[in-house]
Amino acid sequence: MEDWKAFDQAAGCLPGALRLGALALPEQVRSRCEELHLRAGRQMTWSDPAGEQPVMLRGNPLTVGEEELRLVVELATRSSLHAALEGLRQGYVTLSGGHRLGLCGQVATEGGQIRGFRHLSSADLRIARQRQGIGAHLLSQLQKNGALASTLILSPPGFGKTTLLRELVRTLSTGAGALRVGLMDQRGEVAALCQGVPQLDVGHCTDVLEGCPKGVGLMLLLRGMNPQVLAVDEITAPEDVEALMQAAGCGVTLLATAHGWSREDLLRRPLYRTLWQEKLFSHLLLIRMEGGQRQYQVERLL
Amino acid sequence: MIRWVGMALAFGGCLLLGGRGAWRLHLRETALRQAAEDMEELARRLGWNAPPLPQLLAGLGQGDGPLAPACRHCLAALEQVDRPPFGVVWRQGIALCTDLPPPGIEALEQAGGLLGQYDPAAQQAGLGLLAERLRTLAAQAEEQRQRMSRVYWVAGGAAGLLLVILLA
Repeated sequence: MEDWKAFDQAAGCLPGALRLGALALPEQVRSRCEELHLRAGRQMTWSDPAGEQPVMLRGNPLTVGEEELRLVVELATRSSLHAALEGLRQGYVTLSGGHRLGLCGQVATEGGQIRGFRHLSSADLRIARQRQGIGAHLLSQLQKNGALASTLILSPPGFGKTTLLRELVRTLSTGAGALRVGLMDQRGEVAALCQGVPQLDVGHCTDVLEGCPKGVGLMLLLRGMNPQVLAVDEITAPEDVEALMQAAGCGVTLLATAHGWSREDLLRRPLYRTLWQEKLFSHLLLIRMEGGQRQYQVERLL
Repeated sequence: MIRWVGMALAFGGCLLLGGRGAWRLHLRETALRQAAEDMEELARRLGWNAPPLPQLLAGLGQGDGPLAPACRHCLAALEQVDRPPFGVVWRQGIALCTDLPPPGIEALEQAGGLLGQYDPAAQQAGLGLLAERLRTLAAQAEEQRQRMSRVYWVAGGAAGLLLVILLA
């Protein structure tokens, strides 16, 4: 899908004037825009790595109301909040096409868990895109003894970890010598299944498990799909680390992503220190932003 | 001979008019009972796998029950980008359910505020209460049918007889 088409698809969840404003942006802007920001009582803005700019419609800024934010969530969930509850409790909704709508506001809680939003104050629409070709040259650097090495992709939020993971998975499971990849896509952002069919290209030999907690899902993939590579997006909880350690013991190669700046950053956090101590990953793939451009850097850990 | 045929037709016509009134009462009662069952069916499906609304409403939309026009309207609206909130869409749809009496429509409008909310269990409970309310309305409609259908038949027959006497 062309970059501006991905933008137009994501903007489909915006109501009335907000959608018209977003779609009225020049094609060049729609191609490079990474996020649309909606904040109650303030102007809608779009952003790329260079920063945020207001979205204008016929020369006027578009102010977002709380009712519009509610309608955005209605449109994004097709009026089915209950069906998107797991994501909503974590503050996001995954849209058709893998786009992600992050939410903020006043929440109602019960037993320490978010039950729902009383009032919405902000929404952040992150546009999912394919960046085909970026993974091919990186895979050649992620080898150990002639085979793919277990690799952790590391970067701060919004630097393109998910996009890179998708591309690595696609490259690995496409063409001659393709590997069977089990993709644990808890949030539905990597493959974006729609009636079982991935909306984003994840290769011919990739089996996708969506919506399932990682701890359960990784074992399910291992038992049921006999993968050679297990790919998982966003390691954020101790259960995720536990599941990865179990999977690593079964002899599969791991590809995972995590939030962080550097190797030192990982070591400082108890959750990731375990991964380090257990030597689960032999390579670290860092994404950096330099002059608005993404730079990829591979570090050997073992 | 023609006069006798005319009288028979006039009598039969009046009787049919009375019967039609009674039949409409029967249809109302059936529609309310069916709507109560539909609400329970929605609650069951929510409890089973909490499907998104388009999937939840698709079954009822395909049938010919009293809520089918509302479900079809909602399914079409859910595909639209420019649409009002679901509560409004549901109210518009319920207004299309002409088999239902006004108290049934009024009760069913509340489902628009329930369906699609955060908690499937709360939705189920709300739909259960709604089904109970519809059953109560159906029981009232049954009582009314039993009382009024006799009145309609007798009124139709009496009007027919009067016409026959006048024609004779």
